[in-house]
Amino acid sequence: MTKLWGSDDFNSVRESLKQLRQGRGRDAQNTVTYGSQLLAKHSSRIEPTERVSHLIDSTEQMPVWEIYEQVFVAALDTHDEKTIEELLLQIITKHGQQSKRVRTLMGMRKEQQEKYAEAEEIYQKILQEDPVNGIAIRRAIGDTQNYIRLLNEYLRIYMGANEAWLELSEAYAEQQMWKSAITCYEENILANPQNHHVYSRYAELCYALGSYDYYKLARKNFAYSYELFPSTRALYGIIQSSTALASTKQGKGDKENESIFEWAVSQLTEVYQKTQPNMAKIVQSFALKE
Amino acid sequence: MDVLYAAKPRAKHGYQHPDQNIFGVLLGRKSDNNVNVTRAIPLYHGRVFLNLYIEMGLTMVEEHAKSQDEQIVGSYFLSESGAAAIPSTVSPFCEVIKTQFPQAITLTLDSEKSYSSSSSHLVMRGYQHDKSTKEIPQNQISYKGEAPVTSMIERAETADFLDHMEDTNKPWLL
Repeated sequence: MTKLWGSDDFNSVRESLKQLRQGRGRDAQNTVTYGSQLLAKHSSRIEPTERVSHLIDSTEQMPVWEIYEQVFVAALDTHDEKTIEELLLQIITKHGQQSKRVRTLMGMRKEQQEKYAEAEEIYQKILQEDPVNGIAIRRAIGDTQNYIRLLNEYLRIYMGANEAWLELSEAYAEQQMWKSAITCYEENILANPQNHHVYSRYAELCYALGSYDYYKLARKNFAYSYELFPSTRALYGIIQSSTALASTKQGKGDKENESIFEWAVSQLTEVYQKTQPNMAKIVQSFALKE
Repeated sequence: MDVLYAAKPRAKHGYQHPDQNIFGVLLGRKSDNNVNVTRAIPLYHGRVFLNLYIEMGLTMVEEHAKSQDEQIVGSYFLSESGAAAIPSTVSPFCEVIKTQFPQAITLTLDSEKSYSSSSSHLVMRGYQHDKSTKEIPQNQISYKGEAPVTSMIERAETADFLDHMEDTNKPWLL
């Protein structure tokens, strides 16, 4: 697993875009900067399939048009008008204006331009034509209850649709239905067992439940995430989970937990000694306090 | 309450993550009846509020503030939807801050007024947390040193705690 945007070469950028997609990150500015360059210079090197998946996650190399879509959405976030217009024109030229997927993007463009009535009209037409494939539209118009219901129905049939599991997990998390979010996220782990982002995210959801068992599960998954890829985020997660464990009745005085905490603090201190030594002092004073 | 307000980091934080909810804290000092806000520290961005990183971030900021003879005096929240109200997912953090500093306030963005054609400044609403969350009358908060909106929205990097964790070379707290 590589660091996001480690370099601007073809493979690194493509991998970063894929990680964001799988890890549910947005990082809009970098997606526009690097993604636009990738498409401008190297689009012919990306798999040229015209299949556009809806809620079926692709763990293979992303087809080029999914990258177009990802960069387009990021450009909407950053209000990069030039990139928005260029990409939308290319997408429409290739796929026409009748495709539901393209019309969804056009609806998002209307939202970005604050033409909400026009966006709503586009979405409602898509929903009328194809209620099942308009699942994502439900989210766009804020109909979260039906969004969750339709996703559950979809997943009863397409149980391997990893992106749908991800969406459902996020939708539950937004409603603070943490146990349901966690259950859905476990499907993502099954589909991506070597992705460190996935374990970190799972750990974050576990932590939100706030009990001894879930703090322990959080610490365990942050540790595994760190084993797959030694990230600062995982170290912080281990530290905070250990701290939370120590504050519980069952976890108080647990020597193993204390030693894990001290190890994580020492690792984080080492990272900061190389990057920002003054932050190392803050980490150490935090550790002494705990 | 006069709040000398460090606006720029908030505006940049919001601009950096326009599609997400953002949360940060205000550092400052109390002086007689005034609360002087000296800095805004961006903490978090995301669709979903995960308490793990906010708790950790708050602890780190507290440690740093002590070394500067400051304390956390409030927080700010900008919603992805532009709504000015404080959601129930954010209130607990505001209340934790209030236990350490009873006069703590939370500022949110009134996006409708801020981005109207007649506005040249970000318009914030302030809330205090007592038994319930109450809006503070606008005339009780003064913002000094606010720059016009157009000059605040710069495409410069503003790293919050999450960004800093992804890349520790990005300056955050210090």
